[in-house]
Amino acid sequence: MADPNILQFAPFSSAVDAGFWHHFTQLKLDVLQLSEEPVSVYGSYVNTDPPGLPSRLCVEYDALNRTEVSSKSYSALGTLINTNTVEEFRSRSKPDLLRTSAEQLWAAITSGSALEKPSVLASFLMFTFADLKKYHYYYWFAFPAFTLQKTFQLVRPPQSLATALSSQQISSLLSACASPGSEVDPGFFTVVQSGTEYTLHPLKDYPQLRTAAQGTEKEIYLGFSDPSTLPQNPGWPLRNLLTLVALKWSKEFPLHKILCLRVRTKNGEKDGSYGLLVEVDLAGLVDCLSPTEMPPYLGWEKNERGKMGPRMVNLSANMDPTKLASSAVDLNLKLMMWRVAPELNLGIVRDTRCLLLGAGTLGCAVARCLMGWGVRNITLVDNGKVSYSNPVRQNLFTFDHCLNGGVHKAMAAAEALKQIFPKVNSSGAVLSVPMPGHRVGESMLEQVREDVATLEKLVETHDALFLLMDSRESRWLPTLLGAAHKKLVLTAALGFDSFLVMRHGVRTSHQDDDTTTDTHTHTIPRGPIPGDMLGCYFCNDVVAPGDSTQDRTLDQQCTVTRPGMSYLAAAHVTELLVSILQHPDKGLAEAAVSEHGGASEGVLGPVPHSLRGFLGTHQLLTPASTAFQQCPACCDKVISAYRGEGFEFLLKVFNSSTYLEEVSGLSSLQQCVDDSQIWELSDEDDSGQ
Amino acid sequence: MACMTYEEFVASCRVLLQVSKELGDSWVMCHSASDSSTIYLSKTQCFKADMPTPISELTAEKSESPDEIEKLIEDFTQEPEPPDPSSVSNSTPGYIITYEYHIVYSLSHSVPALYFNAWYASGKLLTLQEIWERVSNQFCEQIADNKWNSLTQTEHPVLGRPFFQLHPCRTAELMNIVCCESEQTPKDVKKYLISWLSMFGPVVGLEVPITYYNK
Ligand SMILES: [Zn+2]
Repeated sequence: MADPNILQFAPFSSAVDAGFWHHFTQLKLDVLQLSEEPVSVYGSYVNTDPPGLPSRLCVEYDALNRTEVSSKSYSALGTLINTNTVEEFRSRSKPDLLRTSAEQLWAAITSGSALEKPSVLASFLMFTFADLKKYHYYYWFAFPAFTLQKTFQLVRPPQSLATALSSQQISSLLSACASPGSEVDPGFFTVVQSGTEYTLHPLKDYPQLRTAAQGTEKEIYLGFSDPSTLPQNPGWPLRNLLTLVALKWSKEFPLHKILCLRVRTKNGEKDGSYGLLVEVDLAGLVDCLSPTEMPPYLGWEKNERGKMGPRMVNLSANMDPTKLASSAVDLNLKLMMWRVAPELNLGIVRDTRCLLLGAGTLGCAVARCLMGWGVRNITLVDNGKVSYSNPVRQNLFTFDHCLNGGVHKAMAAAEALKQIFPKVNSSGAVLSVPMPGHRVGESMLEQVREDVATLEKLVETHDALFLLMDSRESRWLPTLLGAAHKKLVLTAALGFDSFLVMRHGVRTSHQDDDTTTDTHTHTIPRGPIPGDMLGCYFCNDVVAPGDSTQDRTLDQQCTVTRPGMSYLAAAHVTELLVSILQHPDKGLAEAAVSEHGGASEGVLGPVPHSLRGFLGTHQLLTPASTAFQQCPACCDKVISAYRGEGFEFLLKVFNSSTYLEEVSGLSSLQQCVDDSQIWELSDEDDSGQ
Repeated sequence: MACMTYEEFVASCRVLLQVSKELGDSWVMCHSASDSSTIYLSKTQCFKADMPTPISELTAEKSESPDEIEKLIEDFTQEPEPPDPSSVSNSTPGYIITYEYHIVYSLSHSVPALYFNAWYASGKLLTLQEIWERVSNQFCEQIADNKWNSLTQTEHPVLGRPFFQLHPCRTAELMNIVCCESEQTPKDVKKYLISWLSMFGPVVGLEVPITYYNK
């Protein structure tokens, strides 16, 4: 139990404005640099808080370069000492730091300068260390005060003004405080009461006013603006005021009445009745105070843990540019969710790891579009280098990438993504995808073996595969791997003024169990086709991929797609992935066969099997087709052969243009060769080799 | 539709400011640093949350090790000062949150827009998630029902820093209802801002005393 005869003060709690650390950082970088010299910081406090709030000493955003506080608050003069290293922050003697502040305060009290400028009585110390790489700020406030040999004795318990004064007196007091006059410091002052009238006078006039009032009706009070909201305890500023009063005036006047002014505005009405009237007897302190002997001091603020330690705030989320970029990107996507599609699951898009096979026009455009959707993991695979014709079409490259023979596209693209958005986890793999019918010589065998292993690993560690290469047969191995590992596989291919974008059917475990039965039959559905029955890129072809470079009817040596085609196709293939991810059935989402739809919809609508765009006629079709049971890339026989024999099976396919047709049973079906409308075209002017 | 021109907005701001001054409220007028004719109103207000201080919010991001920082702080911790009979222990649980409200003119919607930020005593800003947690259930439903459209984080049109915003796209429509009900003309600039504020402010803890109407 506290002794009811002892006056106890409510300590300050520090409150730092959100903008302060920004200004502090600028000051540290531009002005302070390595200096550890103390700098001035202007704090403020109010006496208008509602009950329950601790008395706050605020350091506002402009605390380092302001000269006055707003009319609503009272100044507190602070000193900021910043250290350059965490070791310094740790090892600097805290008692020494506080002593310096206490000595300044003591000097102001004894010299009388505190009477001229009473706001020094609310002075404070701010000791900081800023880890600007991490945007971590360590700080420790101290509100220096003295512990006198004896405590401040109460004449009677503090009374609320509601009890001590009439409502007329309170309102007169409030209006006196509202316009204190230019001579009077609004934080600390003398109050003269004459009947129900109150006037404010400078603090330093207190003894003369007391003397003059003797034998009159007048009552003289010490007054201060009280940040405390407690019913029995005035705020911290009174403590130093009373130390001053004890030292200066208590020989003459041992008894003092103090008006602790608190003003609350409720429903537009000012209410001063929560203020306190405190009466103290300082007679016992007179003999134990001497101006030449500074009493012991204290004042370090406890931290949130209730301990004598610093506080730390991590502002990287508010200040680190890469984190700001990251949250701005997220925010942009969330706006889409909030405003348009509340059901949108952005997390699943962000967390989908995307493997892009091909870092040319399509690869670059798809990567950018994926970043727009917030995808964070993107790996690009390509064996080419950036050539002079590339940057104008391939939007992650610039002229510099072409110099000195050019840099690898996969690497340059991954790096460019990071420059656009530092938080993206992008990487490149320089790798050529082995192709059916492209014989592997002895000398190349180990390299091909290694490339296949790398590709297998990449497929395993990603969720969605984008086949964005420029030849038909290079899509074969990724199609097979994607099917075997049950990944989402999407294809985009360009013609001169047409494009094809499609999703491959996704295998289910159920299908895997069935692979041994040759009698496994697909019932061709009449309505929409379920996702596990959809075809792959090769299902519609009746010729197995071979060395198509020999059959090319269009000249591969020149760039023959309309430049807008790659953007159209890249946009469609990215949006197709997102539509799949936003469908409750994901890759198993059914696709409508006819233009009339009928397929179940996801958050972003139905998910087609394929999109065929024709720029010449400005048409877009969304045909769907089932998987072909003799498909050279995704049929059960091919997949089980791959699972059984692994690389040895692949090698046979690479080395023979007919082996695949035998395994899949395609050779028995093969009729005529008719390439689809979509040609495999390269936009490389130098890729023919 | 109850839209207002920028001039009407400024006039309305001056009325609000005058009433605020008379009532001892703390609205102040701020000017854009680059263009002093662009103004907005600002008010700061503190709340106490009656919960233990969320230390984790103050120190570490998820990606960092809070233990390490804990240890560092622990390391710095000094011997306690001797007990002080003259101070009351400041052990009331809870933490302070400071809200800063701005009334800004929305050029694209020709209505006032309410922007705000909120921070802990350390200066760390509350996240959108934390803001949502502080919006009372009653208003959560209204926001969810699209009545207030949405509470979002966006760039402050004057300051260029991220602020939270009650999106103004339905303000004119809602204000139209209010103006008709009280038989005000939309051009009654005196009451417009006060009516608007009393409708939107409470959603994010900004109460408008009834006495604002009587002045
Ligand atoms: Zn197939």
